[in-house]
Amino acid sequence: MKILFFTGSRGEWGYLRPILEKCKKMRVKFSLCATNMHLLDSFGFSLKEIEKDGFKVDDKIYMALDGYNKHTVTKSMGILMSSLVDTLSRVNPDWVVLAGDRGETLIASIVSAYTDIPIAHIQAGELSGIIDGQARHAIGKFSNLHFASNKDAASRLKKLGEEKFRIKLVGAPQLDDLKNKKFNKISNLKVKYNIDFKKGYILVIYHPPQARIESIKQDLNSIFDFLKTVKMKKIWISPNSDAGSSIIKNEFFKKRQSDDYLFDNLPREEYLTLLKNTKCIIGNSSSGILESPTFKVPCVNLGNRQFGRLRAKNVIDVNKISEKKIRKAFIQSQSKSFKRKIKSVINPYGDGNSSEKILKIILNTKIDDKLMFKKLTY
Amino acid sequence: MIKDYFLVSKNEKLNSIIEKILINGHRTVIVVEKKKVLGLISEGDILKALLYKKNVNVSAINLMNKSFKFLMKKDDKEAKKIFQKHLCSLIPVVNSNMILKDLFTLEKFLLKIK
Repeated sequence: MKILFFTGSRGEWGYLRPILEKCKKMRVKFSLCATNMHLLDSFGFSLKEIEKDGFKVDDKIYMALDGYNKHTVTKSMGILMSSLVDTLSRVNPDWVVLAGDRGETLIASIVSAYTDIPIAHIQAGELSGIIDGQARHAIGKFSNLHFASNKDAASRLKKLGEEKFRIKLVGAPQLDDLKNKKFNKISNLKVKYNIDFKKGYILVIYHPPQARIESIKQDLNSIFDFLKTVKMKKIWISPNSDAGSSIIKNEFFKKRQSDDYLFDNLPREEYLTLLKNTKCIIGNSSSGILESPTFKVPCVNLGNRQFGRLRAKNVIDVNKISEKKIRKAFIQSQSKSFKRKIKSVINPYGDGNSSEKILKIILNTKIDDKLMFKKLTY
Repeated sequence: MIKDYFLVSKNEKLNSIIEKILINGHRTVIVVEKKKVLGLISEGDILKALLYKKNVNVSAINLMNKSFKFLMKKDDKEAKKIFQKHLCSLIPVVNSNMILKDLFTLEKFLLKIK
């Protein structure tokens, strides 16, 4: 059996890496296809992280057209569609494993489904704001196995007409890294990056909210106005390549102060180290929703990018972004009572034992007519 | 007064960046916009760009290292630590708004040791 793993962003790599490590241990034959942000220097060239993790990337598909607006991002997806067909034809995998809700993942699901290759979809059935949520459900329609990270997502898949036997409640595999303590001491990062973390720091990740590109500048004004008043270092992680990302980067350079640090990409261990030790994660990254509860770190979630997603008690939502509202949420997040409250928080996305479950289910699932011919139950 | 050959604008192209590096002899230039420091470009960054198959029309903003080391005041001890740890050849000194105020060069630092 040969499994093809597909990844286009650092976030997805976090989902897939623990499963690939299990593949190596269990000597399962696999092929790895990387595309989009992994291959872009301007987005941190995370391909080198994959290689440093000890994995060979068998296929590199260059797809991204410059511009990073709605039109170039959509056109880029067309490029992927035609290129991925050739990869699947050459590799001829038994399974394609996809994760998450990104546009390139949707394209991969279409190509796999139309070339009759069964799809296992990780992080299936969840809600997310903006177009990602629509993409996730569309990927679900093409998928043959759905790996749900929580009960809420599993029950949604059922309501969406997916057959019960396809839905597997396994948790979120990116939490395996957290359980296996794949992080360093913060003092190592101080030495490496020459940043003094003594007074604490805030981790800021703000991706373009696709439906509201026009408001990015205004939102960033509010974020910077608030951050300016906090006497801590701010560690920014560059946004993903979605439409509007170049606006965020330009605004960052205009408004940046000497206590703002920007990283295009960080090795996963370093990112987790920063997340574990931060006073608060602010922004709209799924990491705030999925990963921060394990470390019991407060998360101030901005805007509607993560709208509707199941969240733990460490998340404070600021739906309409303004300096005043961010400040209020941040003050709440740093209060003794809030910190006391989140000490007992349980991550609803699982306990960090997902990757083995996922791999075993894939290996033990018979590829037959029952699996391949989907009956939509509504 | 910081000499012009240490500075490039964000839209400056690779040829011009290389020329400035050759003139200043410090293997690095600072990318600025209205004196605000945006990043640093070293010879290593240029080699990386070539490895990633970027062409000569690539702009400074797409080449620069955004997570560069800098200092907030002209502090010899701190500069020494950075030079020793990171082997960089130039450290900008900025104010709280990232406006370039001064710079340390490895050359001057080594001369002081002599």
